[in-house]
Amino acid sequence: MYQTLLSRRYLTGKVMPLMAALAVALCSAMVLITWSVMGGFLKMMLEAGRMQIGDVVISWPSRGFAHYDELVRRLEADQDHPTDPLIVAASPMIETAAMITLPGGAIKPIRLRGVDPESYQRVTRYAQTLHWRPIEQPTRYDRFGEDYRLQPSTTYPLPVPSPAADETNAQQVARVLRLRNDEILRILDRHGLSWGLIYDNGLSMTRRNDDTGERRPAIVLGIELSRQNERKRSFYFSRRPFVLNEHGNATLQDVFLPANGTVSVTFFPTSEKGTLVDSVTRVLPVANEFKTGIYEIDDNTALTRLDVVQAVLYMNEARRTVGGGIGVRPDGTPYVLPSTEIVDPARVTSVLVLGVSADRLADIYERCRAIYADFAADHPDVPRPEVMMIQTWEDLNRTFIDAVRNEMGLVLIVFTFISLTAVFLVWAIFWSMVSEKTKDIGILRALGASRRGIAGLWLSYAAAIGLTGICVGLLLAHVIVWNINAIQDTLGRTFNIQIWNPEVYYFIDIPSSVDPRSAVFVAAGGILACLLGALVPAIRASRMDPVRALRFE
Amino acid sequence: MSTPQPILSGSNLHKTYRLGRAKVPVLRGASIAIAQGETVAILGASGSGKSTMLHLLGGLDRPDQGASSAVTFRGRNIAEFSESERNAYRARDIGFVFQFYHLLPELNVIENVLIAAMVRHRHVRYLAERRELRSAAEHILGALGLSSRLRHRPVELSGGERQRVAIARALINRPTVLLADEPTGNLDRATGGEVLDALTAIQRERALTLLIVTHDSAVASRADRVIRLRDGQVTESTTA
Repeated sequence: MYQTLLSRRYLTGKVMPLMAALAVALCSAMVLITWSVMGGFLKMMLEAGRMQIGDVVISWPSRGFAHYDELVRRLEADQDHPTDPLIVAASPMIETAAMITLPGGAIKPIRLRGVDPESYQRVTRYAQTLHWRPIEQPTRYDRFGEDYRLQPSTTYPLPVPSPAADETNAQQVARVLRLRNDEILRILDRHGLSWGLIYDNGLSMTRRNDDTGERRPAIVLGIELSRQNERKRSFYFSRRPFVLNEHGNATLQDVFLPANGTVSVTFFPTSEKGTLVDSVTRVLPVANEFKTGIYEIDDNTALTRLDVVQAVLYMNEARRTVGGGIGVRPDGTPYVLPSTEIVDPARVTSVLVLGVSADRLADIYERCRAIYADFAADHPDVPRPEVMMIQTWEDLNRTFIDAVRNEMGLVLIVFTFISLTAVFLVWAIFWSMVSEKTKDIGILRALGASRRGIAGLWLSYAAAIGLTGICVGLLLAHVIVWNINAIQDTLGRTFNIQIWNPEVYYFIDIPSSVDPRSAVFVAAGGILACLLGALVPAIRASRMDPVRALRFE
Repeated sequence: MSTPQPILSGSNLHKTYRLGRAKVPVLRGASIAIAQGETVAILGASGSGKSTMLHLLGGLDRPDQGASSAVTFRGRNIAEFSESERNAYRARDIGFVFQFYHLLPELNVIENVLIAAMVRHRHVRYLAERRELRSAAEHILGALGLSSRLRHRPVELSGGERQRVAIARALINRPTVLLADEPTGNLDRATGGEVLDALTAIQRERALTLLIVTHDSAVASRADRVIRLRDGQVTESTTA
């Protein structure tokens, strides 16, 4: 009991223990922030990987494989498995390299995916990644409601307020934003579009032709790809009022990609041997843009309809005639040779498979292998099961995921070692305090306190310091992690410092959630570190001769 | 008339301290026996071994290892006590009052008194009895004229008040023996007199055994018996 009372009084009556608590707070906050960001980064990577391609990818790159629609049917039929259905959906895809020419003339290489929009949405979270859509609430950091998507175009024309003589700063901001939003809404209005229609265009990967009224196959670009969208400090995307040409010069424009923008895509079909056959260029209207949050994908990937890609890469269904022609009999008379019409079925490079749960990845993989083996047995013109590339999303990203895991472990070990300085700091502070409180120790021993009780006093005092430091540290870590994107934003704006480069770390936003298990682990570690630091001084205090302690000056 | 059985005694006490390489003998075969309810003063010059004898009798220190050195409480040699018994002896049977009060500066008056009860009782028992203990502490402090100073820190008290707080702390566990080491040594004569009056009154009220160490013969004159200590040996024992 006396330990609790004295611990509380020692803690609040001195500056030194508060310094120790501060050291514990900073060290625990440092470890938890690192753990949260790195762990969050890894978690985002794992989730994003699955979100993009499903659980398993069955692929035969470049050349592709036929009868994919039957394979998709067989895979999806697993939903009717009598005991253990494992596969939820499957979707065909062609992935190929292409060049894109953006408005203004800038050209860049991209990864183009030809997909069937309907099944692709079932396997991936494509629909949620479409950026241009109506929203009702501003996003997290959009304090002024600057995001275009908040305003439906049906309200256009908006009355444009003129500046008032006594206009406040906030009113001025609102007026300027209204003017800027009007510009976008005017473009939408001119093309009879709304955010809802643009969203639907994205889902179907088509856009209505303004002149003919027909729907045309369209392309959906990664949000960072076109460089038309400027990521604002408030974490929304704003249209740049200019475009960059091939020389990097800016030209003013009146284009909003999902409304009236088009891009040219150059495809490179290859022969069966993989050599370049030709190059084909198609002009495609932009239906929408997607934002996965993974910079690498958002910066260099575009999606369009599967049939468009199949056609230009010569992977669609083709009919050819074998035989035929004119033959000459031995007697010299010509005759017509018999001919056969052969149908070359359409091909894709991959089939994406979504399973019931990421936790059953191994089972889903095995089920896919089994289904493909049956499928291949019925179709001699598809790659044999033993050579077919069937991989889980973890396999596909294993090198990178393992690298991140190792990096996270290494960084945590380094920071934990750095945090050990707190142990020595607590040791030094306690050593000094035990010396300072020698007389108190003598008094308590005279009153009948045991050696163990005296040691307990200092250890409970250390635990109190640890607990205080940990509480402050966890709070600090939570506040920093929860606001880490806003903090980076402020640092960038004020000091031009960029902590998180999306080009390096893949994700646009810094992971901003704290894993409760990590917090508990760090809290336990912090208190343990304090107890460890106080152990030797506590033993020293307990071994003090009470008579000498009472005479201590 | 039979001699009453002593409650606390020290026989043939030896104690030598080391100062660097030198050995400094402080007690050289001193013996003392104190009866229940008796007030005994140990009178001696500075360095005569008075405080050391008090520490040995109070179980704070141990006499030198020797065949016949022994401190006996209620007939038991405290050298045979286990560590926990020795702690309990100091907490329950003995109350210490020091010359320099030795209050804990972070605690206020009532807490300084209650800390002795906290040390004696375990956590659960203290919590169970805390109302009674607090009431007892307030009663003792009231009897010592400190009712209005319960929330004050030691630094806010006069020397006499601090010593009265120290007396209250020594009494809270209702000890059998009170050991006072120069209780007025740091006070002026008038204040010292008041403190001694308070001590004497409490000793009579509770039938305490009181051992006062002093170099002041006026203080010693209040005792039932005076033992003179010189160069670590008892030279005279006189009864008032």
